[in-house]
Amino acid sequence: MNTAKPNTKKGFFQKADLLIYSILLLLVLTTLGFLPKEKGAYAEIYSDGKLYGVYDLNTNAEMKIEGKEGYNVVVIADSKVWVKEASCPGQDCVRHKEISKANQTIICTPNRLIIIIKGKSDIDAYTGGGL
Amino acid sequence: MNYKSLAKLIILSTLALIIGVIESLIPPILPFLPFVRIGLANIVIIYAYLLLGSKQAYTIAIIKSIFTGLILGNPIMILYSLPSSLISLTTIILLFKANKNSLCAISSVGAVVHNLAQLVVAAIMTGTIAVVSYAPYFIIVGAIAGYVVGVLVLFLSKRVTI
Repeated sequence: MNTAKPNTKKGFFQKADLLIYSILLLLVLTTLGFLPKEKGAYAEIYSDGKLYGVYDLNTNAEMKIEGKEGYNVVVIADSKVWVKEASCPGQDCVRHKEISKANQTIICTPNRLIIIIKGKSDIDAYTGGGL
Repeated sequence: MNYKSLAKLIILSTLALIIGVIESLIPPILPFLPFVRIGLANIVIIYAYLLLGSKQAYTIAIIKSIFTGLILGNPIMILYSLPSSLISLTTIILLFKANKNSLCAISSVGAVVHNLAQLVVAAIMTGTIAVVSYAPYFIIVGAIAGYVVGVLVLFLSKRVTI
């Protein structure tokens, strides 16, 4: 019989946990620098791994993007982008809050759709700053 | 493996699977990150490790990841959850072996590692590093959710022995 009770003596807190929590805190603080802050300028949309199109965030558009696995309806309005409708089973992309800042993404894995917001500095990178 | 431990393994696998499917029906905790979940099925996996051992825990983690993806009709999910669960479980087992930290802290780290592994998979799959910008949320949510999972495992293992 191996119904020995699991060792749960070390319950809720041990001194050694402090090290773990400080490492986690440090990780949060270092990754905070990656948080999107810059206002977005345009949206890149990838479908099935290929660039589908680049759209200025100042325009208003609603488009149905058909991929091999299904479709997504993407809306651009008020400098924000969101997915209005999708054929995927999870609907995570539809529930995703609208995005507007540089480096924010909406990803629909089943339909292989990626929306990435790029900032003005990203355009400068393309054009050498002379926009 | 005798019939008794096989039966335990099957019961716990089924439980992890059911919890995983039910959790996917609950609305997301962060509206702007709909794919972040609490990871309640980890209760079963950690419990299985403590009660049955690492081999059984790995088996349950693999069964859970593969079949949750298939049942939900979202096989790509497996690419995200399977590697993440295995890395997370390995971290958890190593920390238990080191025998220094509390169960809740270990569970917390396990959840954070799980979340970060998913981010890495997402970065590889989408070929963009932009997803890394979600890391702070993933770490904070993972740490809290993992702690809650640890508390639940503690209560569960004091009251239930199969």
